Amino acid sequence: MPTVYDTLVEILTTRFAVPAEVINEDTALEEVLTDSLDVVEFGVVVGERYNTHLSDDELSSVTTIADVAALMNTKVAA
Amino acid sequence: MTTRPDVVITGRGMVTSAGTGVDDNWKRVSAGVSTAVLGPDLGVLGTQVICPVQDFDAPAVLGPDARRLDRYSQLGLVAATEAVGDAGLRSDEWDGSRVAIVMGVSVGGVETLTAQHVALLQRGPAATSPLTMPMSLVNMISGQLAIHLRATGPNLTVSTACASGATAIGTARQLLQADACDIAIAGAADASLVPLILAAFARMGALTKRSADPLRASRPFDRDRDGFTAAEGAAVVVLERETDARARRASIRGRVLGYGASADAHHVTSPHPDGMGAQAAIRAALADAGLAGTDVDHLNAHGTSTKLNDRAESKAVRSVLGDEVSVCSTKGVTGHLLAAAGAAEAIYASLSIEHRLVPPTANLEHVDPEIDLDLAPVPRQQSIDVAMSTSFGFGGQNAALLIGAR
Repeated sequence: MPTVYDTLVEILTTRFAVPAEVINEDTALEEVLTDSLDVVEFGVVVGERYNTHLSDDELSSVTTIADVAALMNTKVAA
Repeated sequence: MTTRPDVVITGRGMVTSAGTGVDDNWKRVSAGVSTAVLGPDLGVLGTQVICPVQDFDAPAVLGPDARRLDRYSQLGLVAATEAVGDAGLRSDEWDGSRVAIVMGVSVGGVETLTAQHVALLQRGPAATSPLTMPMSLVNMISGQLAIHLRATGPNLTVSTACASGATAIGTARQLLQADACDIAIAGAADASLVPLILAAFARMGALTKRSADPLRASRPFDRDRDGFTAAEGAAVVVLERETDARARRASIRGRVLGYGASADAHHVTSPHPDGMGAQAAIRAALADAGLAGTDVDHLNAHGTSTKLNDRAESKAVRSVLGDEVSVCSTKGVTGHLLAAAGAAEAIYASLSIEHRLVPPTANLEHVDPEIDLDLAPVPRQQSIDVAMSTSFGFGGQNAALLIGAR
């Protein structure tokens, strides 16, 4: 079963056409996504994948992909 | 009164069910073979025939940004890119402040809108994409073209339902004549073959129910026509003042001799039975060009394949243009491109002049006895100096374009 991080990378590469080679755990979402609309869109897609929602506050509390992975691990485990 | 500058077409681009690109379109339209297929099954409504753009891989053509565009904008961008290339222009070289965009749209990004409505109903408001508005707004095609083509001049979206494409070209010509720009990119796009829109048209009784025989469903002016075949697509022209086009030695594809517009002020969907609004638009275009009705050699008619439109249009054409004009409706091949119809058919009219060929009206087996026009189910060779394209929209909005030879 893929890790949350692996799933986030898969979403970024397939849904947002981000080249895999520019993604690592410390990559900031705003570095690789087009704009703030895409950051929110990323949150929608991730929430849909895990059958949950990322609130605006949750999304604004994360910077890197590792942050999102940690957040999702917490939410999925809850 | 000062003399208004002549405006010419220097580039053409289109994506329809008849093909991607002007050449493929002309081959299919001049062959007179319908492009209709079965689409979404609307059950008891009994309508299922559509003319979709086939094999359109937006990311392959437009790159990763395609995902941020609704399908109608994707189609429009591809058509505009072809038109600019055909004009021999490069958006990285021109003075973008002198480039105008005028695009016609009727329903806009409904594929996005309907999908997002489903997401909201199924998963709640937080599941709504933040790209919903930027993708679905009717003006976004013009904004997207500005971004992709570095065009910072006047930027408009016009909406006159199924006359939108003709309205856009006519409006763009006026911007050039007013010296508001040096280059105008004008046309229209629609991609609304989604169940909601098809069902809505069907409930009006506007669509064909000939689902058992899709290739014979769109049959303009035929006795047995029973409604239009909904289509999607985009068509775009590049317009310039003739003096500017000749100064840069551009290839001239045709000229926009005249433009006329009117409103029926009669009914929300039914045309005036005698085509009074259509007559007014045709007369206005003739007056604009300084031509008489008998000067028009060929008409690419609106000819939707609905009972009411085709009869009213026939009366209007006979009344103003007389009985010598050769008439065709290319909707027998393409179906009804909605907003894009007027722009696509203006391009087909320019191609008729160029190739000296009147396309056949596909599926014209028995001309409606109440229609008295010079129609043919087969292609006809004809020398054409002046062609007209007519477009009529729900809401009673009418537009006519006169297209001249190079």
